[in-house]
Amino acid sequence: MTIKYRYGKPIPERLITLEKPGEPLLFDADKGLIADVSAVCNVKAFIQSLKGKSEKEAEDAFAAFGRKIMEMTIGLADGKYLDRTGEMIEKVAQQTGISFPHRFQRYAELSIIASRPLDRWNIAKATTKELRLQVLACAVQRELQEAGIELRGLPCKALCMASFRAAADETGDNLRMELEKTLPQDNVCEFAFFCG
Amino acid sequence: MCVWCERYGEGHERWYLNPANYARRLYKVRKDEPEAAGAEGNPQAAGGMASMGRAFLEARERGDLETVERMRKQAHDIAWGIHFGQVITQEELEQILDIIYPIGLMTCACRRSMRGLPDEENFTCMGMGPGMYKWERWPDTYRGGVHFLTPDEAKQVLNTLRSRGLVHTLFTFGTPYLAGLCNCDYPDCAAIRTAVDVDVKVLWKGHYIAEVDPDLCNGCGLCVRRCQFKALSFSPSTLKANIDPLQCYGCSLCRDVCKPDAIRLVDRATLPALAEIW
Repeated sequence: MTIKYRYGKPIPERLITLEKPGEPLLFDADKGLIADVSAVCNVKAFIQSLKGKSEKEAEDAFAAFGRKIMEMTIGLADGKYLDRTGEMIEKVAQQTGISFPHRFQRYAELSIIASRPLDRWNIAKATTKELRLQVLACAVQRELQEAGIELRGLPCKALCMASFRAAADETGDNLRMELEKTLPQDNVCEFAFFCG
Repeated sequence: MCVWCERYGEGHERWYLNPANYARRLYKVRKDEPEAAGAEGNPQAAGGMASMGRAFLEARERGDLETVERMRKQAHDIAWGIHFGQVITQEELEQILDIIYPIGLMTCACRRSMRGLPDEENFTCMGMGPGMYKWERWPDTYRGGVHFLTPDEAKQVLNTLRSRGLVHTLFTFGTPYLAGLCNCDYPDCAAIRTAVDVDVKVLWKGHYIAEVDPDLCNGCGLCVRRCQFKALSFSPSTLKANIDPLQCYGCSLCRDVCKPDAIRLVDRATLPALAEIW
């Protein structure tokens, strides 16, 4: 696509300017999002409810819990707690026609912040083809250990994967998702998302 | 290898080809007090170049080397930790366009202050990465507004800027996070000016050095006008272009206009005398 750019000049049909100069804008995640999501999707209570369940039952429960967290996050993040970062991400996606990675990344980040606000995590790569999310400390893992629940094969990955899948469904990004490293083995859960 | 590649390359050939240096979280939890207006991250407040003012020049003038060195070190400490840049080639730029998003075309703060250019003639700078979604936090920096471009559109714009004679540079905003894709010239660019005029390395040389093949050089002199670093001269005795390797920043602007292909880029690391001259 050719763009009409002349040296130093603005491109009128593409220029975004301040909408309301001087008016404070809220870019960070609202604490209300954490309060609302955590109240309904309480990780500690959910982990307690797994006691006595089989591996398969636990995996199904993790997936359902992950979907619930993401669906609730999306509803609140695009409604009651819509922030300026989210608005600008949508504006930019409209202007460039490129959705991935940040529309998806936004939901992924907010769902973690909302349901596991004390987790330590990081974005290691964010290109239009690939996103990498590293979780270095996870409330789900911690609660499982504290509850004395030993599940083989890291079934809690079903929580994250179902949650991320729900986000990708919302953004319409055609994503392949991999869990390439896991906390028990590598001291980090590294999720890779490949677009297209 | 430069110190930044050692520290932040993580196995990539160059630190600025490591996608991790462009990736950041979009969110943190909002604090109870009003969100900062962004003064802490304002590029105009962040750079070590800001400290290179009258006191530094006067100390130089009176030969007070102790003060000069102290102030230079202070400037380096600030710049290298927060906001400094490095020159890149066109080939490297094309690789970088594959790993950055979003890309915003904006006005240049240096040209605004140096030339007093009005916003509508000054859209020559680019910001990149997730911080661009928060551009409204720094209304003075983004005066005039911003356009968001696809990587292909950005490439077209950058080609226009390059053909005009601007040098592509990358700048950190909290090292090693790279978020500025600047298009610079002397004397408009504060970083080039501080590096070339007073040897304060807010802008580092690139990983390449341009070399002239005198057998191929036809003496047209077109390249001399392209150099923003005072590295190129025209020899009246040989009627050939001459590049001072100690001054060359490896931007490759001179190569762009060399019709007989007499200029090539050589990896700095292969030249022992220059390998550590940044």
